[in-house]
Amino acid sequence: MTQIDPTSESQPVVTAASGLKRNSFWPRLWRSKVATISAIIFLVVVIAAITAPWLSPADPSAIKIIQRLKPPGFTNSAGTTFWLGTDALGRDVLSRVIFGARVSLIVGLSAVVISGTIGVLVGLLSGFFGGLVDDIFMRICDIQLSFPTILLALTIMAVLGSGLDKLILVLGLTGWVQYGRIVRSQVLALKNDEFVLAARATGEQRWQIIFQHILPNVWSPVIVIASFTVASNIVAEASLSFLGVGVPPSVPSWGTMLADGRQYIGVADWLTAPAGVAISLTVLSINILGDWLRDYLDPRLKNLL
Amino acid sequence: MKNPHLFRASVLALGLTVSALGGGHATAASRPVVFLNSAEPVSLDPMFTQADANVILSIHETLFRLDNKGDVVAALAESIKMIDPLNWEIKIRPGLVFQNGEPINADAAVFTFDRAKTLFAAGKGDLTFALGALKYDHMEKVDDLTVKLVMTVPDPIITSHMVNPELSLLPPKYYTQNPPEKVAFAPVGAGGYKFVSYKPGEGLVLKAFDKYRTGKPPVDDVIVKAVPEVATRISEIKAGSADLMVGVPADLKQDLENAGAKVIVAPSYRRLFVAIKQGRNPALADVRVRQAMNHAVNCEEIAQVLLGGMAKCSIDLVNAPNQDASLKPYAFDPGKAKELLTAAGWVPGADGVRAKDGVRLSLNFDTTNGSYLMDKEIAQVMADSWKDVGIEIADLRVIDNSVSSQMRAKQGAGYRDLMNSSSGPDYTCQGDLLLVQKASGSNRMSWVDDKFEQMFKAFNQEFDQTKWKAMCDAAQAYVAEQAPVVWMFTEPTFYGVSKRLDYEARPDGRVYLNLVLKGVKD
Repeated sequence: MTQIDPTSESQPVVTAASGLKRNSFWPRLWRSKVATISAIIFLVVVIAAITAPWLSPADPSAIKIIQRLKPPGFTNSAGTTFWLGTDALGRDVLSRVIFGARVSLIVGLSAVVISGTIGVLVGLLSGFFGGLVDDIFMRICDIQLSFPTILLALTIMAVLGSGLDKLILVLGLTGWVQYGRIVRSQVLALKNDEFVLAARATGEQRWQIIFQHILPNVWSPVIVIASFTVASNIVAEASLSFLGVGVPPSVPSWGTMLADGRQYIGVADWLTAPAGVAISLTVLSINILGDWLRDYLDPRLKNLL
Repeated sequence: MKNPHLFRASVLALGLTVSALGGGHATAASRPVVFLNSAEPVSLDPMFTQADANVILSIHETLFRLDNKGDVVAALAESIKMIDPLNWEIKIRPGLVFQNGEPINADAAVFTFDRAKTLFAAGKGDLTFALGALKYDHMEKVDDLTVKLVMTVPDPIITSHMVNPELSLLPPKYYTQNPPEKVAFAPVGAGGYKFVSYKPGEGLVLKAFDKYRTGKPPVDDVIVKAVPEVATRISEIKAGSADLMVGVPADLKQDLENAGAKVIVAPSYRRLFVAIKQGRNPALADVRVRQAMNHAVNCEEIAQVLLGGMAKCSIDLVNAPNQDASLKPYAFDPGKAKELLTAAGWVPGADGVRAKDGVRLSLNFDTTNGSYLMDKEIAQVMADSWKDVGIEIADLRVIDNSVSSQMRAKQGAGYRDLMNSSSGPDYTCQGDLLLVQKASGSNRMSWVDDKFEQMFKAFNQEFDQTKWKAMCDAAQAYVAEQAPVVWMFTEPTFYGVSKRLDYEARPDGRVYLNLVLKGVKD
């Protein structure tokens, strides 16, 4: 019988959480110019989303059709300047872009929490128990993967109707598979490691082994996937809103701004350009950060960053 | 010939020039006219859809129809004679055939009217509007080209009710020998265009019918494609891949003209309004709430600013010339709206939304996007206006144009509290009043008012035309006061037309291809 030493060096001690606490995080981020710029852009978006009610120069939903389709820099009779112009209903484009950040981040992050929670749980249980449990979960994964995500989301939204809450739910429920698969593969690799065997040998409950020993060691890939999924959720929200099944038309969202502005693209390009730039910059910055995070959390690339 | 090379070269050049010209002409002439519609057809069987009148009356033909000026003219019928108030004799034009060669005669007319009756009795098809308007008992054959229409009630405007596309004559053999699912999308009619093929997403392909009663239509080939988004329709016209669209926003008129297309702005009798659905939210049963909703909306500003001053706000339940011009639209008066709501017991809550007995005045609004001029934008402006007086629009839902067509076809089933809607002209006061009549298929808000029903019944059976004006005005005034809808305006129609297409707009905004396409210049 194999003797397990609980204090053995083979027991993983570096979790993602502890990894992030390492002193090298900020210096290494700072060393990558692209990652630093991306972090700054993302931070600006986050701050804009949090402080939107105070930062916005006007109410983003205030309709005043008398001042519709005014170009950037227009100042009305009350002395208010519309730095990015007004839309087809006279609403301030800048304020809508700022509030749009809020919608994008709420959808992006909330959906990640839902899909991440489901996916991690499925991956943990599927990988740890194997057998029938694994078969059932993996077949569900296969079925889910056989539907294009955006088509599935479109269908569900068409049935449920538009709304921020429904959009989050739909994206959350359609995006869990990749978490499940990655976590499952990690668990399969970890479950026979010595620290798990040691925990078993000491008589720990299964849930303790899963959540206290295995879970902390699968955070790295989960964090990386989450970062990419936030970006893809933002794009999905914009796409669904653009197609008219995302958030209601009155809610300022970058996708609805693109949809509303596209018929005026030849005569009022300021309706679409700011939302398009906002989506591109946000998604690009999150993707670059995710890419950097993946490299940062990969021990093989530790010395390259 | 002194220089055979020069001769050969000349002949070759001439040949190339001729072939190039001829080839160019052939290519251009073979290019079909592409009409961009806002939705896929629900059906091409005239008895199964009200929503697709444009294509139905391009393929099919009725006994009577409205010409491009809005006058009722005899179409497949030659004449009509009243025997007594319940019996009418109709003569059919001789020598006409359907697109499959079957003769157009009394048998076809009897078959059509019997089929409509049978379907309606079985609860099939979309015949509530047509048979709600034309209340006939049966049609019988008198001779090969003469039929007798027996009515259940006297109807002084019988020909107006026979223009409805649902009563297009059908070839008996074809519609008896083929199952309904086949004829639904492989129609045979007597209209100006023959059906060739239809695939959702690719379009409906039509070819001019050379034995059409007035002769072959001037444009040979037409494709009707469904493009729900206005922006996409405009892009296609600009790119030259389409020839005709309806619903160019006033803002983009110049843009389209700059791209080389024509924008024809034609006055129309299409009346736009927001229907207030009864039976869902009890608040809407109160006339004061409905009147408040009318007072809260600044229709003039919408007409001037969003529609470039092309629309005229009015209570347009009835079209000109029957419209009572002295009837004034509800004035934009938020103060009055608030007074009415308070009088009805709806008092403002902490967040400004009114409530009564703990129930918030919260409504749902369904709007199309691109079915009418600036429809989604107007819906948002109206929602904002109602918010200002304490009426909350909890959910402003944008519905697909095809879905909206189907909902309208089912008398508004599926709509929630408020829905943008429109009504085309009937050119008779009695016909226009059907919009709010209990049994009519066009009453999509389920508004029922006993006093109005009595007024309508008396009017609808009155043969003395000298009394019509007074009866019409009285009915209009009463309905205007009751506000079963939020009155908006009669909107003009903005057609985007390619340079090569010769187009004649109709006052009802209809695009009956055999009547409006006047030719292509290639």
